Order: sequence, then C-alpha cells, then structure tokens
Amino acid sequence: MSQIKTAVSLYTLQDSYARGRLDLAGALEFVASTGAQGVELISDQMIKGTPFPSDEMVTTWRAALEKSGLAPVCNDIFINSTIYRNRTLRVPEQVELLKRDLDVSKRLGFDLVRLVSDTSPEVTLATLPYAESIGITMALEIHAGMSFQGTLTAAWIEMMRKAQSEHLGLVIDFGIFCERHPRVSTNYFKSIGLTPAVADKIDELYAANGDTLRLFANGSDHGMNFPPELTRLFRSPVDGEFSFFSTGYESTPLDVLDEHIGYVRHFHGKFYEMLPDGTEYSIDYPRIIARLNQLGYDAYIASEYEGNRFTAVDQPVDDQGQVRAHQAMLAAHLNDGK
Amino acid sequence: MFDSYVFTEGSARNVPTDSGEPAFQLETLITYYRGIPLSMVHAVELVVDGRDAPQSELAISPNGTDWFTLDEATTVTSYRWEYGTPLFVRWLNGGLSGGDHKVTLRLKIRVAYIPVPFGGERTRTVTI
Repeated sequence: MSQIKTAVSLYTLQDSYARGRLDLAGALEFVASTGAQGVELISDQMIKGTPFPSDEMVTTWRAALEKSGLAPVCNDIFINSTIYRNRTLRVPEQVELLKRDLDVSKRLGFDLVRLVSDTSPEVTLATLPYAESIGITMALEIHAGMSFQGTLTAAWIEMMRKAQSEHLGLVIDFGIFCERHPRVSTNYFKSIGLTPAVADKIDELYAANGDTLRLFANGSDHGMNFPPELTRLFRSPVDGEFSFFSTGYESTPLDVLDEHIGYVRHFHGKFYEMLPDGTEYSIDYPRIIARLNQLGYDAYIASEYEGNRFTAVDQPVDDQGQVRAHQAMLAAHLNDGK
Repeated sequence: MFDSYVFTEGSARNVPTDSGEPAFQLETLITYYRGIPLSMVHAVELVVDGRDAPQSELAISPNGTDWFTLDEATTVTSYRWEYGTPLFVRWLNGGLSGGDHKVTLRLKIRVAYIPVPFGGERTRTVTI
C-alpha cells in the first residue's frame, strides 16, 4: 500500500535562519517538531562553503540530521551559469559545476537532487553517466510560470523520456495548481504602490481564464502580453511588475499528474497563506492529495512556504507558524482518496 | 520583496582602512535565498545625500577582511557571499562628515533562471 510522507523544505525557514531565529541544527529540530518525517535542503543556503564545504561542516550537518531523526529527502541545487557578467558558461563548464553539486549532495546524505527550472537538457544528459555512477537522481523542478508549457521544460522532459534512466525524474511544485491568485502577493504589491483597480482586474482575469499565464504568455513561459483592458488601468510602475508576477502561478488541470506520475520523484508542497480554518488560500490540497493517492504516489510532499516573499518591509515573517499549520493540514488529509 | 534584507540597521559607520584613510562602511544581507559566488553580485550603488558614490570608489568584501573593487569583483568566483552573512560595502572617500546623512543602498544579483538581474534597495538616515 502506498503511503505519502511529509517533509519540510528549509526554503521555508529562510527568514528564521537569516535573522538568527534558528541555526541549522535548530531548523532541523523545528522541522522534526512539526511532525514531518523528512527534510529538504538547499545546500547553497545553509551549508557554508558549498560546493566544497569543510569536513567539519559536513559532520555538523550529519550529526544534526541524525539527532533530528529526519530523512534527507532532496537537495535543491543550481548551476551558476551566470557566474561571469560577460558570458554564459558553456555546456562542459556547466557539467563540471553540476557534478560538484552532485558530489556535495552525496556527501550530505542525499540521493535525490532538484534541478532548478530552465536547467539545460544537454547539460543534464552529459552529467547523467556521472550521476548514475554515484547513485544520485536528478529531477527537474516543474514550477509555475515555467511548467509543462515552457520551452526549456518541454525539451528537458523530452530528453528524460528518451533517456529512460532511473536517475532522471521530475519534482512538481504545487504552485502549478493555484485556483486563485495568492492575495498575500496582492497585498504586498499594494503596500509598495500597486493600483487597486489593477489588483482587482488580475483577480478577474485569473478567474475568467484559469490563470493569467495562459492569457499573457502565448503558450510559453512567463509573459507580458497584457490586454488593453488591463493596461488602461496602469498608473504606477508597480502595476506592470505585479501583472508579470501574476504569471508565476498556474491553474493546471490535475490530469498532468496522471500523465507524469511515473517520473515524479518528489513534490514541493508550495503554500502562500495558511488560513485559520486549516486550508491554503490558493491551492486545494485535499483534491490534489486524493488524486495522488489514487495514482499510488509513495514518496514525499515537502512544505515550501512562499509567503515570506510577500511580507511587507520590516514586518515579522511567521514562517514557523505557517509551516506548522501546513504540516497539520497535510497530516489531516494524507490518506484522502484512499 | 527582499528590501527588508538590504542595508542592515545600525551597520553604517566610518572605519579605518589598511591604507590609513578612513572609509564609510555599511553591511547588507543578500537579496536572495541562497549564497552565491561574489562575481554574481551584479550591481552595488550607494547614494549619499543625493549624490551617487562613484563606482570606482566602492569596494565590497564577503568576510570583512578581503576587499574587492566592483571591477575586481566581476571575476571573484572562489569567494562566496553566504546566505545569512553580511556583505560589507565601503565607499573609499575618507569617510562621511559628522552629522546626519541620507544614505541609499541598491543591490542587484544575477542568477541563471531569472531573466533579469534583481535585488532591492533601502534608504536610512545615518548619524556619524
């Protein structure tokens, strides 16, 4: 019998960490206290010296991980192909950077890495023999704004289907299942000058079209082809930026899960705002979890809090309270649809 | 979105430097959620009392010990600006005069999967 398990991505606790409310060991202890069984790391975030951390740093991480009792589920890695201002790294250079991040992930105890959206399929394929040799799986993030309709994402998936390696897969971010535009984003942009009529129009267009990406982006990634009914309301420079940001959420039919579940290694349980009634403002978790159970999904969903980004300047970020509420919701619905 | 992390409160002051000349120095956290090689800092701009500090007079350090001009920093790939750790920014101008100054710091970084460099800014009144 399949059993979905829960994890917390330390992305969620970025503000607590940066502001000194939690150190690395404290973050792991906190994650365990939410009831999660696993943890997702961003080695660039909390492992100093990545991709070449000292043995002492690795020992500190492993000791804290062991003490927490958490399973190391996934490490989120990046390829710094923009390391030079005047050029993008070539494929062999990117392969070397990717290998370094696979190595550090392995040293930290992970056998799954999340490749950030827009990672090159050519770079991934060239690195695959190395990943296979050290027993690590590379899974591309399917993220709203750059998901299945995106040019590079589609090319990566095509590469994955052709390669047919157990060491390639997908990480789907629940941000592709937003049934309504997150109001924490709207409220943040209002705090920096968003015209209220633009906010209302985005909500209206999102509801009428499924999302704004499919209206603004001509069938590809993030887009800025704003219709006149929207642009005629623009009064502030923030209005265009907000409208562009609205294409970073998608309302994708759950049928994409049926099609891709065989390749899915992990999910990011994206959330923007947990409500007092235990639901998420934009994403219908029970509906998604029921579908995953019907499909026999047997791995993790990791809480990934995005509301930190939309907290007004100098206001406190309640990342810890929000993730506790999110884990409680996941626990309450973990067996829905079974 | 990351403005809260820009220009750490209470960090601005005149400091002595190795050259013997004082400098005006402040600190900032990164406008992002992970550490990056220093070369991925795309722009640092400092405005004091309405005047742009010349780019050639700015220097940055990820550890407070090793300093790089902005031009040098474009090739500094082996030093990391760690997440949760301040970047030190200096204006090598002999320091600010006594009294209150309106100081703005603007910061941009450059990453692969976001099409344009992005960052944040913050203005504070600084008393020397």
